[in-house]
Amino acid sequence: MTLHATSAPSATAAEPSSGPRARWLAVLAHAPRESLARHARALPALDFEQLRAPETGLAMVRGRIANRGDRFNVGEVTITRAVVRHRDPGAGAVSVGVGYLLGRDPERVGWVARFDALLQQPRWHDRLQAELIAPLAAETARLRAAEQRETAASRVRFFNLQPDAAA
Amino acid sequence: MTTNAHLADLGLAWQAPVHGAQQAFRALLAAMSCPGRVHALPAAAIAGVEPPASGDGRRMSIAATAALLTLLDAESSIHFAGCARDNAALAAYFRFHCGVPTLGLDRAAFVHARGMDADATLCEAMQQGSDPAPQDGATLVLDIDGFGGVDTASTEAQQPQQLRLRGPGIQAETLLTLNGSPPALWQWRAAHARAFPRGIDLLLCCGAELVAIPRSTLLTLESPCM
Repeated sequence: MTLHATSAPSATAAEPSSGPRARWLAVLAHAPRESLARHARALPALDFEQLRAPETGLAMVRGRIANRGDRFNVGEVTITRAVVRHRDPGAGAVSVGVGYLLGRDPERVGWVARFDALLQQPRWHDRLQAELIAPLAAETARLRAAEQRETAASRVRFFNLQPDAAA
Repeated sequence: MTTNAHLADLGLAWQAPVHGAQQAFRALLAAMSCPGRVHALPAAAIAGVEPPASGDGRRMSIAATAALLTLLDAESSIHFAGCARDNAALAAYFRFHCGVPTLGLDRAAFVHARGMDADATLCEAMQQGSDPAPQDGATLVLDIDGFGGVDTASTEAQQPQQLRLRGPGIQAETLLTLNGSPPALWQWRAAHARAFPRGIDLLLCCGAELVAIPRSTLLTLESPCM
């Protein structure tokens, strides 16, 4: 099965790609699996309707050299996706959560979709932003910084070619 | 943050998508192979399917919904006859579950209509295919009121439509009685058979039953006579 970008739920089409929802979806997508699992287990039992049960397929990744020039097909990647719907028992507000992750991990993509649905609910939004998104974002940033420090330590400076690096 | 209104009420598709689609496809194959015979979709082909409703509150039949879920995908196209605003929920349902785009009547590979809306004008406007590419001819999925007419019909508009069918897949001939389709549709179809292999294929649906009439079938409208 080949996924097409046009088949994503149209709810996201109206929002800019840098909005708050895009930011928390990015944090959830990059969150380490164990952290996500821990937060998912801490949730109380809630009702989620599966609009799309987790399914795995291929998507074509497009790129541009140095972010300039014409787009071309880089290659196909395996993606797992899921869509869930949550009705708030009290206020009756309906939210639809999506999860799109690289790889084949139906359980993990289910967690992402559920958190996305809850983050759109007024009852859960502030609490989850503080207790879930902020710590996950910090943890991802920490891991990235550590990786960059490790990589930087192996950087080779060419004193002849880069006079400013001779310091 | 508001959720897209269509997603909030979106109906579900099969509980078991692979099994459901396979069972539905088998039923469609059987129906196309034995034209004019009423086929009931097995339970597995409709389990979990929640047909979408148009703006006037009328739901698509579960047979039409399952057939379209099976046949549509991102490389196909659909057109819903009638007012676009009324059919927005139908388009959203198949857009979500199948990734299928909605196109104009003259370009869509599949057209869905309610019985009495399918007249000769609609059929004529659909893609008929060409002699080198007959597969480009569109398929009309029609939701009608029933199979097997009621004997006591008071007005001509309510009279059941009786068709006599011959051709591939039919031993000698089959008599098919329908409720809720316009006689003009069958007059057009009877006359248009000489354009074979060009033409459109028909899928008549009511409840969980369907009848297929591929373009290879020869038919005459027995009654009402017009």
